[in-house]
Amino acid sequence: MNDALDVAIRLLIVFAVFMVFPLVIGQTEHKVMAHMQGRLGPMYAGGFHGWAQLVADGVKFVQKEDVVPAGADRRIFQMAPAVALLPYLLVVLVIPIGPGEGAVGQVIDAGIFFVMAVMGVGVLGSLMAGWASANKFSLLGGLRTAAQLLAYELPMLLTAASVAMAAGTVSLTGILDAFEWWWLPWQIVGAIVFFVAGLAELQRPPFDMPVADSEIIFGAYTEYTGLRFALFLLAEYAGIVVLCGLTTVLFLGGWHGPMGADGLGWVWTLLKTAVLAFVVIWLRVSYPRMREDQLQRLAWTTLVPLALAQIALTGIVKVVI
Amino acid sequence: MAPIPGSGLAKGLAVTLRTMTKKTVTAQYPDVQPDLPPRTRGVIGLFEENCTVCMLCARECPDWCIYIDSHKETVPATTPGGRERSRNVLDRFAIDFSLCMYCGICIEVCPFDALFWSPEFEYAETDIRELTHERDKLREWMWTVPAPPALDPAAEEPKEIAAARKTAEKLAAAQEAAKEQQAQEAAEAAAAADAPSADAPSASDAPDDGPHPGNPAAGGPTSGGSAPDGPAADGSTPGGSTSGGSTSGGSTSGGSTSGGSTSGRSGSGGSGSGRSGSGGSTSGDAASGGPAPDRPSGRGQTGGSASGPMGEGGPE
Amino acid sequence: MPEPTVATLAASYYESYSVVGLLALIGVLFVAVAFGTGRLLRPVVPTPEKLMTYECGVDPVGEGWAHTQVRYYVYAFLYVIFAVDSIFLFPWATIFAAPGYGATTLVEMFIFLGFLAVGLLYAWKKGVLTWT
Repeated sequence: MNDALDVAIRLLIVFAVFMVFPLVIGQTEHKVMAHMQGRLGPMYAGGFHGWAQLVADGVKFVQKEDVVPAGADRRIFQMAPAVALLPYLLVVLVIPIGPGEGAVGQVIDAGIFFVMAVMGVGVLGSLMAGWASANKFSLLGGLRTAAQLLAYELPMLLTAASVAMAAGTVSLTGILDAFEWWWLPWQIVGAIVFFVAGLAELQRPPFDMPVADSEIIFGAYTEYTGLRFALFLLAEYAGIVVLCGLTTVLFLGGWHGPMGADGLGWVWTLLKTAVLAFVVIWLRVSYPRMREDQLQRLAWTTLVPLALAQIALTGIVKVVI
Repeated sequence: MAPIPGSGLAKGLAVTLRTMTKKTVTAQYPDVQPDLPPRTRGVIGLFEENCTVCMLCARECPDWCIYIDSHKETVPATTPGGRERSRNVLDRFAIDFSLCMYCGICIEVCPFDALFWSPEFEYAETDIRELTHERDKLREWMWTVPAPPALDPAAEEPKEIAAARKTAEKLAAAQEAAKEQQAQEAAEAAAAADAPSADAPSASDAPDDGPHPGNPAAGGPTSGGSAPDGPAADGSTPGGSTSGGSTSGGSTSGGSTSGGSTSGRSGSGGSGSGRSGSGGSTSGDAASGGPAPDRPSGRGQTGGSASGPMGEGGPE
Repeated sequence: MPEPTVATLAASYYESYSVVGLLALIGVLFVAVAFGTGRLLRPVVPTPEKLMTYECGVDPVGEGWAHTQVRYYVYAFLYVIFAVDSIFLFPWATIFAAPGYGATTLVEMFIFLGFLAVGLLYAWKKGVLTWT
């Protein structure tokens, strides 16, 4: 029975993290983006510097009318947000935040392999949305989204494979156990490629062409309103949490740090994830977006070859040493 | 030397980071009132006492948003056998702020300084008909009109102040002369006869508007309002004299005159007679004061009261 | 550490994935509850204008699914190739450095990757990767 309780508590914690962290990151984005643009951001909701802004947004979205366009494919249209959101929940389950087996929701031996596979399912959500909306903009946006996400899935896969090679295992806890400080410079190319590719996976600026307001209304999500729209946005922020967490675990050593192995590991994990999240927001504020063909060119002609080179480097170093 | 690839990207990041660390200048409006510059145009206030219903503002308004109604009243002649005077009495003065474009032409063009800018801007309404402000509301705005901003240090003295100062000086000189004369007379009288002349004490209060004894129209209950001003000259406030018209105007002008007449007393002394209609000077006075011919004071005091709310730009 | 038996491996395997399944169920429940709450709280006032397809505010032209050039299928092809390659990469990655495998394994994998890289290069040179 203890086991069941243990599992239940873990699941609860994972679910809580999944609900709360994206909101925290979202609120941080409001404030950081505002200050980077010389303004204040939300100040009103909740009294103190508008901390409850996203909660208020959630309440607002829940009570909005659910409009399914007349010509749309109803069931698919309604299910798309859930399909886009749930994969990230599953990935949060396997990200370790501390040393030892107890510091992860559930130890999955297939580790990074499982993560990549599940994240690939998220693409389906956008495709469903784009196709089912019966809207030309949605269709075009959905196709662009699909192409972009496919293209950038590759560098992520390849660089993740490079880390797996370095660690000799695909399990995330195993990778962290095998982490050495000199992996940082060794895998730095892979880290950058993984991070950039991940940003493009999430359709965050500067890779947000398929969902940009001035480009294509809102791409695949154009016809969405109210709660379904909110779930798509939640999926984006949950994706940021997942991306930052994954980068931390794979390339930055997760819980490694002074006193990390002695119980403060989770502090280090959270700190590194937070810094990466800040970088994600920072990039959004600073850079203009890339055109669709520039996007694809970046993926196929720059990131993929770089990832392959990283694999080569990893392989050679690993065999030689 | 070619720029390092990626340096542009790094510069962009640096700019946003720097902006993030600087303090923002956002003013959180409803909690913090904005810092308005001087002479801000918010809303127009009307000082009825100065208004002679010349209709210039209504005529010049490009939007035709000023609505004025008036009627003529006759004022009995002051001197026996004289002509009856007629004056305009303001019935309705309304500005429709839904039309007003805040150009300020009406204020510029008013020859009597009856209209003023006020920096109040929070008067939005839910019903467009409420945006037509009537006389009472326009007078309310008067209390929010700020003192005129200070002139540059090397600027020329404004004409109103110059005129007021000159009249004050003249008045002071006249008082001096009068006192000397009295002193002389007193000395002579004392020297000559033993009975002191009774003239002396009364003469010294002269310095208000000359024709104070002769105001049949002045009487009026409203003069009571200004009675505390001592030498009853101010009892002649035309506020009282508007027999027909605006009772409200009368009483309030009575009230404001009390303020005004303090400055008015000194200022209007010289121009006492000269207060023909032109309430004129905002800061107290008689730009037209000096040379104007003697008029029944029916109108006399309005000028004096004009300085009331306007701070004491006047002849201090 | 002792080599775990097939049985224990299988047990832990199923156990871990059952937890994943449970979490997926929780996720589905959350979404269902969210939509249910929404349905209780939201108004339902469908008007024909609201249900019209959005086309920048003007009346929509033609059918919902326009004649779109699916030029992206090339990228999908390339992706499939490389994805299959990656699937082979992962298990190899876990053991290639173990004793007994050495440089030969590395070279073999590099040859494999080389073939795919040549394919990518070919596509690049053929202009497939540039926007038409």
